[in-house]
Amino acid sequence: MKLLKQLTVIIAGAVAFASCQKHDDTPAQADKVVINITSLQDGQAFRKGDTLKIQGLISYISQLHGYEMKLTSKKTSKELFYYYEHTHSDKVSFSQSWVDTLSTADSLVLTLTAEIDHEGNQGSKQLTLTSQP
Amino acid sequence: MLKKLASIAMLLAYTSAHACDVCGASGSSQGLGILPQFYKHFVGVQYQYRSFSSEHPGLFEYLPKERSTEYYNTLQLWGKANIGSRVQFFGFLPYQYNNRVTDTGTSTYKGFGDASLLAMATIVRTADTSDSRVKHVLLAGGGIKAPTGKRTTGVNSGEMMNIQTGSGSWDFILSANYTLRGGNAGFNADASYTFTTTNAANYKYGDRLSVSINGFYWWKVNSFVLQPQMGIRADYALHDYDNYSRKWLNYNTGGYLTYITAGAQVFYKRLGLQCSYAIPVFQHYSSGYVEATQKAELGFLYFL
Repeated sequence: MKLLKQLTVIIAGAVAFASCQKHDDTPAQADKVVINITSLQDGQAFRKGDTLKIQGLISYISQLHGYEMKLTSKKTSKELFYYYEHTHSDKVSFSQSWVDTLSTADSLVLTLTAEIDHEGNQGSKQLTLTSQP
Repeated sequence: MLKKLASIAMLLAYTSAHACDVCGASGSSQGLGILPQFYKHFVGVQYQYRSFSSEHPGLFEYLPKERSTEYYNTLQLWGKANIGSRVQFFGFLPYQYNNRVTDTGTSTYKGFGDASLLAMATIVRTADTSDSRVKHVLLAGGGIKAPTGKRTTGVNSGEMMNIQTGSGSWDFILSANYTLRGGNAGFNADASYTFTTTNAANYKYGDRLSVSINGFYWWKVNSFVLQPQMGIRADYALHDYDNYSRKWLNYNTGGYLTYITAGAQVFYKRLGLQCSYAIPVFQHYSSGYVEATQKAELGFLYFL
C-alpha cells in the first residue's frame, strides 16, 4: 500500500513538474473593480408597490469569481433583498428586481460586492435610496 | 451567535445562481485494458458508472458550502478492426446520462459524448509459431477525440463544466498497451495521455494521463474461457483553464485518482462478457473538494 501511494505521488509530481501550467498572475486589486449600476441613481426615491430594477455591469482587469447584492433598511438594519451569483468572467452583467412593500418611510442601502478571488479580495459599491409609502 | 445563525438561515432562503467549477470530474481517459487477441475484429457495448461527491466553498465566507453528488452513466459502442497484420483501429462512441444532485434539485445532462478513434501499431509481438512459454505484445499509437458531444458555452454560462456530455474540443491521444503472458497467467500495462485543446468558449480541460496495471489468470473449460483480473489504475489531470487565452487557470480542477480494480472476462466462442469494479484508494481531486466514490463497468463483445 505504501509503495502504491509513493508511486502515485511520484507520477503526479513528475507530470506536474513536466507541465508547469502558465497562469494569469495579476495581483488582486480591489480598486480596479468597476461596478456600473445603470438602472438606479444615488438618492432615487420609490413608493410602495414600485419595482426597483437593479441592472448593470461589473468589470475587472482579470477574472471575477462572483458577486452579491444586498438591499438593507437603514431604520431596522434588516436585509430586504439578497442575491448572489457564482460566475467566472471579467465582465459580469446583473439584472434583478425587488418590489417595495414598506409601509413606513425609510432609507435603503443597496450594496453590490464583487468577489475577486476566494481569499476575500473584493470591490464594492453602495447607493442610498429612499422609500416613501 | 444566534443572530449569526439566523442570518445564515435567511441567506439559505434567498435566491442564488452558481456555475460550479469544482463539481464532478471531467471525462475519464479512454484505456484499452486487457485485449483479447484471438480474433482480428470485434464490436462491443460497454456500460460505465462513476460517482463523485463534491463540495464547493461558499462564494463569501459566511455563505454555506455547496454540496452535491454527481453520477455519470456512459453507454459506449466500441470496436476494433485490424488492418493488415500490424495496425489495429479502435473506435468509441459514448452516450452519456449524467446527473448532479443537490439539496435543491437534480440537473441532468444527456446525449452523445465525444467520439474517438485510435490507431495502434504492433511494435513487438511474439510470433504465433514461437515455442516460448512467455509471449508478449506491445501496441503503441495515437488518436483523436472529436467534439461530437453536446455542451453549453463557457464557464460563465451558469452551467457546470465537468458534467457535460461533450468537451467541445478536439483532443489528441497517445496510447500504449503491453501484455505479457506466461502459461495461464499474465499482466497488462496500459497508458494513455490526452492533449487537450480549447473549445469555442476558450475553456480548456486539463491534459490527462491514465496508467493501469493488471494481473490476470485464465482457465479454459470446454468452450468457455474465464479470466479474472485485478490491478490498479491511476488517473492524473492538469488544471482546467476557464479562459485559455487569458491564462485563467482554475486551481479547483484537476488532480489525481488512484483506484484498485477487480474484474473478470468470460469468453464463449465469439461472445465475450467483461465486468469490473473499482474503488478509490488515494485521491486528491479539485483541491480536495471532489471525492470519487466508486466505478463499475459491464460490457459485451462480439468477435468477427
